Amino acid sequence: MGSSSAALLRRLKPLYQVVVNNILAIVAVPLAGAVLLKAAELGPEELQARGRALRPAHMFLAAFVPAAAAAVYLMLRPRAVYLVDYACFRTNPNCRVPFATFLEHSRVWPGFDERSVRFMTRLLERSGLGEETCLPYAQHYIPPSRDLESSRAEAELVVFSAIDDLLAKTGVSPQDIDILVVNCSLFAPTPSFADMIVNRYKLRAEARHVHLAGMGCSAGLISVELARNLLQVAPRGARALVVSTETITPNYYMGQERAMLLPNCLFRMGGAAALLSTDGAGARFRLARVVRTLRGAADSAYRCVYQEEDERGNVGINLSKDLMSIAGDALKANITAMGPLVLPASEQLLFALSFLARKVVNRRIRPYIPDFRTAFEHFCIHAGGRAVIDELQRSLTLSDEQVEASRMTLHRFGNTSSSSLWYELAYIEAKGRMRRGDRVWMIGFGSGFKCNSAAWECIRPAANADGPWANCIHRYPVHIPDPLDDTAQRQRSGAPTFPES
Amino acid sequence: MVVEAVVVESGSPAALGVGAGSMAVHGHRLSTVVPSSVTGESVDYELTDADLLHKLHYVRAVHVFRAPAAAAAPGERALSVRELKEPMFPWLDMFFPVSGRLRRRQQQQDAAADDEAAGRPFVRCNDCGVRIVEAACDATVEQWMEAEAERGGMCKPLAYDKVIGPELFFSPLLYVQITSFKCGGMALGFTWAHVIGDIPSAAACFATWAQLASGNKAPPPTLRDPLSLLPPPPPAAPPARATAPPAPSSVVKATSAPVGDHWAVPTAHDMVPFSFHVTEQQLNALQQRPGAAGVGPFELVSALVWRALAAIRASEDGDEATRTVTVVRTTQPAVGGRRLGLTNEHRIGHAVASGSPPAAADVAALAALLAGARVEDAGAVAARAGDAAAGDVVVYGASLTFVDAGGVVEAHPLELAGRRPAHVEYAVDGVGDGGAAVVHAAARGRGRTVAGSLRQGEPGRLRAALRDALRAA
Repeated sequence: MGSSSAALLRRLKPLYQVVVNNILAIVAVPLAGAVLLKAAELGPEELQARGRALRPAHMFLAAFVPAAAAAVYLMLRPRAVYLVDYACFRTNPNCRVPFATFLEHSRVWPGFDERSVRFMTRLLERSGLGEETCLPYAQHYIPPSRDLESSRAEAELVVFSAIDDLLAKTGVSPQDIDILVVNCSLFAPTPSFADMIVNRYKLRAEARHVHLAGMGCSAGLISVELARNLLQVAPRGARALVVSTETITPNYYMGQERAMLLPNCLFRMGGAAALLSTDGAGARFRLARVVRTLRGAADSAYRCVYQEEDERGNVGINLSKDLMSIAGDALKANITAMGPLVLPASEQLLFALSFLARKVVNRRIRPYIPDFRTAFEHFCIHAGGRAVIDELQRSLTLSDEQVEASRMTLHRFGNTSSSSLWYELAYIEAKGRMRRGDRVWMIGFGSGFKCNSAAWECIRPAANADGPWANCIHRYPVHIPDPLDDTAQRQRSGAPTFPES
Repeated sequence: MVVEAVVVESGSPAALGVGAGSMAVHGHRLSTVVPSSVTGESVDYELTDADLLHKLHYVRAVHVFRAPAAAAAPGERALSVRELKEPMFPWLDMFFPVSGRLRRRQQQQDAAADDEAAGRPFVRCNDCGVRIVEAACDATVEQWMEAEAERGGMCKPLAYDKVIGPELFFSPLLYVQITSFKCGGMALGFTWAHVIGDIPSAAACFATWAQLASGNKAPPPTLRDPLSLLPPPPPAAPPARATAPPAPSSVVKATSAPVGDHWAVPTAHDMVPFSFHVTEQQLNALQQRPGAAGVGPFELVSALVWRALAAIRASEDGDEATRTVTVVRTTQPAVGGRRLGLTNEHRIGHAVASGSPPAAADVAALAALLAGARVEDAGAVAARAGDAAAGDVVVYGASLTFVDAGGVVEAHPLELAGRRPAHVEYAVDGVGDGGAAVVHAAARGRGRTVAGSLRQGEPGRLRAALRDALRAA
């Protein structure tokens, strides 16, 4: 195609989008105009004569059938679910772990050999994490303690702070909560987290509560979907509390397998609580869609993120080498399912035409990648690691500003697993970028392999920057140096440069 | 007299007999505390020549607190380890070089230009933190105090015994040990690398932490612009050589072999801890002696130790070895100075007992010698040592060393939860074969505490000799 024709197409595209997205209006207006003209032409007496000629039964049906259809449609339509508000756990500087401290602990404890320490050094440098990420109190010890009591202490600290914050923001009392869904993948004591919250906040005896364990880093959106489903059958105006967290204390890997050391370097303390309701009064967001995609039927996807024991009996999470390709595959499946639900008609038509063209005309025509920026203003991509964010930015063709929330959350909080999406949303609001009517796309990945996404629409943006970013948002965005520039990296971070052996 | 009375009143010699075993400190758990805010990238704290002169030595400070009384007010109950750690985060914001780690300057490409600076140590302020050690002791504070009065040297296990090295990158500059006693009492032991500051600097640093723990607010963390850390002061102008007497060369001594990155003094003897307490009455009695008027308590006590030690060492080293002693006088660091009050500004000098050997000399005469010793700034000593300072040098212990830490306990009190410690000891570790003793005012009362390191076998004999000498007063 010549460049002049490409330029012409680019200029025509906005016109095309306006036409196709408003096709109903564009078709209906002239049609209505034609009908009115015809009616005017016929004259009022002629219209009345025609009207009396109709049989009453037909008139009745003509009025009743559409009304009945509309009523049935309205009743069977799922209730709209709103996000009243959300709150994230605010980290405390006394849990802070700078790079140097993390590396020194791994070095001083004799359980890690030099190769492992060198590997973790390189991982940390390229991870995209900053110097303010936090680990729980028990992991500031050499060696870190992984006992039950410390794990419970971490869980209680994170969950109770987030819920206290949320209840203060919304003014809701714990007795008004009807549904409670908690997800924490790698720590599931008895009694469960949900019971812990019931006990602490004295929830009502009739409240429905569930704890989801083992569902991986995408469990936050699974919890949201479960809460949404439960709200459909709960009384009108019911409130559901969704708590997403991950407890790191019991999961520190103490062995030497490189594939299992990565979570030690990336996972950090964090948690979030969100209040959903079918009552939209005072709500801030509306949940438009939740799409869940499972790839676990394929063995490679199933074993991609696998918790197991290494040769010496240390338990850790093994990340396979083809994690990125499986993630990309899962993402494609998810957006294929999500696309028709959220994309405007113009993009769907183009995608359909390109699909047909590839099938019918010529296989080598490049597939049209729908532009999701027409469907969403903001993107919250799970901050699983620098590589994950890079990969998604590439495949969704997003700009740096659109993935900024993910990168900055990774820098400031590390990978907080299922709650990272909420920290990213908090970043966008703290920066003041959220407007009424903006649509947000949350994408989470997790073991299984799962890719889950949710689409939100903003009703009322946050009034102020209060939240986990309150005292550091003015420092963001920061520039995260390129990991390929290795030597410069090491000198800047002051990390020891190991002699090349 | 005083010491024996305590032994009798304890009522159970058996307790003391079992004391040696049950005084053991065990169950060490290590953790780390870091500054609460980010220091920044590549912030370096330059070490002056005076600092590097002392790199092989360590300050050991131990504060022992009794358990709070059963009917104590809420503000006076014992603090848990977490409550002690909480204020350390903003504290380290103020003293961020202490939480850094040592590095050496890279070798310059053009060796001719900067030969001396090649491999010069400095502190990279990377927020790595200080090490906290939690330990337990199966004795009560009272039993411990009795053992300390009886044998001395009991403070050493209460501070973590670790030197810098073998890897500079991963060696903390400060260890804080929190030892819990069976009765609920607590001991705080600080092991402070002398390279970062001298005894008053360390004491001021610890006192600041105690104030934060007692509820004072820390100043907000300043934006630490590397440029605001001024470069080390230019080398001091050489003293006017015409008037100064010829410099004695044995104030500092090079080590027998380079120590590399393992900053411990190689010694021919095993060095063991030593401590002794001189009560106020004994001090007064000393000052009544003829010729002792106008001499301070530091000089009197040091003179006693000098004479006694000279007698003990006469058989092994001969009379000449203990003729020369090193005298160190500490000064208060400038508050709010640009170097955060972390300096090595004390003064070092000599005293020489010419004439009769010190073992036979009069205490008052030795004290007068000590009082009259000419001391000069550590910076000047470093400048004079010149190239030797860039190498590995021993200050404390090159010859028998006495450190006047004067009123360091009064000037920088460590008050926690409204209570003062029952026992305080400041000492130096990592000293050379000559041994070193720090003399400072005691925690309670107006006596003097002498503490430091001596050769194996000397503490017991020295304590006996001192008791005899003080009884005769």
